[in-house]
Amino acid sequence: MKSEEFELISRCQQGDQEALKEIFNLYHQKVYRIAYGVVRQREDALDIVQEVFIKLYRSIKNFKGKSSFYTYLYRMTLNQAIDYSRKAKKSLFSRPTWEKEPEPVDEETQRPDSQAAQKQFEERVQKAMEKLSEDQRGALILREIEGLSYHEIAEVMECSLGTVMSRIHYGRKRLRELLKDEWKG
Amino acid sequence: MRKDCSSLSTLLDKYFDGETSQREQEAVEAHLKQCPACQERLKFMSEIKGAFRRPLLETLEKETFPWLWEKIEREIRFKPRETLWESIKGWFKITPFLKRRIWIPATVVATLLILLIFPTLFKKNSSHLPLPVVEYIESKTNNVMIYELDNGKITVIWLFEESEAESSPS
Repeated sequence: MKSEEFELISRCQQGDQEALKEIFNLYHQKVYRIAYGVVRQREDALDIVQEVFIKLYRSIKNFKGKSSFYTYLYRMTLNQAIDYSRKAKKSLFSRPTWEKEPEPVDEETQRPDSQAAQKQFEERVQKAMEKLSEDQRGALILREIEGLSYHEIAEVMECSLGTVMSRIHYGRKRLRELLKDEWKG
Repeated sequence: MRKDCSSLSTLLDKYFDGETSQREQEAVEAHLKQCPACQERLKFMSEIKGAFRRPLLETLEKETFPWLWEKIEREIRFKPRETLWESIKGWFKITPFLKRRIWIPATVVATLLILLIFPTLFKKNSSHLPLPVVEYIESKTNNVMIYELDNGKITVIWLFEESEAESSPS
C-alpha cells in the first residue's frame, strides 16, 4: 500500500472527513463503473456510489489492512450493488407492465452491423448478463469492466483462483447459450 | 467444433484474459490456427466484452457526479458522535496498520527484556544455596557456627541439654 493511501486511511479511521473526500476523489469513478456494471441505470449507480462512501466512512475502522484497500472497496461496492439489484428485482413486479421487458428484437437487425443493431445487441448482452448467477456476473464485471486479474478478483470475491476461473468460464458459456442467435460458432 | 476444443475450453478464457503461461499460450495459438470455430468463439467473446463496456464508457464520459460529495458529506454529518468510552478507547487505540508495524520491534524488545530479567531471577534463586561457613566451634555443651551473608555475618549457637540418664549419678 502506498504511504499516501495509508495515511489517508489512517486519517479517515480517526474520523477525518477531508481524508474521506480525498479517497472519494481517487475512487468514485471506479466505484461508479462497478455499480453501473451491475445495475445499468445511471441514477441507481449514483445512489450506490453515495451509499458505498457513507458505509465506508462508518466502517473503515474495521479495515485491518489484510488486503489492499481497493479490493476492500471493490468488495463493498459489488456487495452493495448486488443488494441494490436484488431489491430492484423484487420491486420490478410492482412496476407498470411496459417497464418490465423491452420490445422483442427484430430478427433482421440482430447482427451488430448498424448503430441501431449495435444498441440492440448491447441491450441483449445486458439482459443476458442479468440471467447469470450473482457470482458469475460479479466476476465478469470485475474482469471486463475493471480489467482486474484473476488473482485480484479472487481477493475481492474472497474465493480461490480456481473458483474465479470457473465463474468466468461458465459465465461466458451461459452468455453464449443465451445469445446463441448472434453467435454462429 | 473439433474434439480437442473442449479440452482447450477453459484455456481459451484464460488466453482471452491474458492469464495464460507461455506454454499455454503457444498451445492455444497452435490450436487457433487450425480451428475456425474457436476463432469465432474468441471473436464473439470480444464482441460481448465490447457490448458490455461501451455503454458504460459512454455514460462515464458524460457523467459529472452532480452534488455527490455534498450529499455524502451531509449524510455523514449526522453520524452519531462517539461516546465517552469510545473516545477514551481512541486515546489508546493503535490503528491496525501501526499494530502490524510495531509487532516485530515489540517482539524483539520483549525477547531482550526476558533475556535481561532471567539472569536476575536466577541470581535471586542463588540465595537459597548453602551459606558459607566462616567458623565452627564444637564443645561438649554447645556448638557455635558463624555464617557469612551479603550484608554481614551471623552467629548461630546450639546449646545441648544433658539427658536425664547422663545427668543422674551412675
